[in-house]
Amino acid sequence: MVIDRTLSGPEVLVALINSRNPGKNLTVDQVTFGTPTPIQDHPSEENTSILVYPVTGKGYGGDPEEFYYSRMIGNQVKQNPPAFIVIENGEDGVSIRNKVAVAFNVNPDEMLISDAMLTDIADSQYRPSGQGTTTCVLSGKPGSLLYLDFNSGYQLVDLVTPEYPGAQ
Amino acid sequence: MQINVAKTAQENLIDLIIDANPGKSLAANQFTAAAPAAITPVGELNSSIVLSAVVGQGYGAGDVTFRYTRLALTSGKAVPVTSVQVAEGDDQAASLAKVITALGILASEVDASDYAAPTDDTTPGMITLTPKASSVLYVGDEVVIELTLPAEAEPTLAETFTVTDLNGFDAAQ
Repeated sequence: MVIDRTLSGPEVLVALINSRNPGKNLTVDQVTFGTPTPIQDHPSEENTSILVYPVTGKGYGGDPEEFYYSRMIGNQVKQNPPAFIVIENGEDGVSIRNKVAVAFNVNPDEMLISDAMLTDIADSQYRPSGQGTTTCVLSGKPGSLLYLDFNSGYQLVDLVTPEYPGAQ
Repeated sequence: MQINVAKTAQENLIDLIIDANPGKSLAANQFTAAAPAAITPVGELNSSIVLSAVVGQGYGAGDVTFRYTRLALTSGKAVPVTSVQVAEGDDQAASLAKVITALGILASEVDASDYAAPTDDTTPGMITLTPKASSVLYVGDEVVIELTLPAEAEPTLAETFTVTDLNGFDAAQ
């Protein structure tokens, strides 16, 4: 299942649960999620376990249920990642972050898109200008429901200005 | 004095009389009681009742009038009971028994009417209780008690979602 980047992490996870349990229709208001936990050596090789807690009175009761799934690693989110992303001179960090999220089809609420570097980009000495370039890093936010964090893998992409050779 | 629902109405009245007259004794076979009557309230006293001695049982012929307080049906509980949970299939008698227990009142002292069984856990029923005109213990307005069914047990996530190994997500094109 490809992540719908316009959905929240819980919405995506609920969709995944429903996709593996045909005919079921779990909704985000019926459950709460525990913290996703990295696991190893699970029989079917999922890399994450998560406890899903029923919200009493919303359709399900009893104990929480543990599900196993694989969160994505930063460098696996796109089959053919772009070599670079063109940003405008003076483009702000939020705009750049959204542009990168669209290019990689990731949810910016679940993915760290080079936060530190984009902060630095606000500083003119790091902002690419002329034929300049800087590198953006994509990795899951700590605790993300969808993506593993930096330590498990990340994606690099260059941010370039329109004047950069090949940018057009 | 709290009404003891394990005793009859007459026994509760005797307890009340003895409580106010320490050291005296009175038994059910020693008197007959007229129907209680409402009086112009004197403090909390709202009722009177005339007891006539049964000659030969310990007291000579004669009547005595006691003034006392009969309770409203809902006043026996610190927290008013307006809704009682019954079981699916309970008829009027079974529902009434549960209402009586929940309200902590004597069944012999009330009339039940307007019974409607709950149809499901979201559509409550009702039953109306009215103090009998001759009730020694209760007076006042009728009370309408809502009858509810317990919410249907919700299935667990484990019962419903049998596939818990979800694999993962696919890379975008």
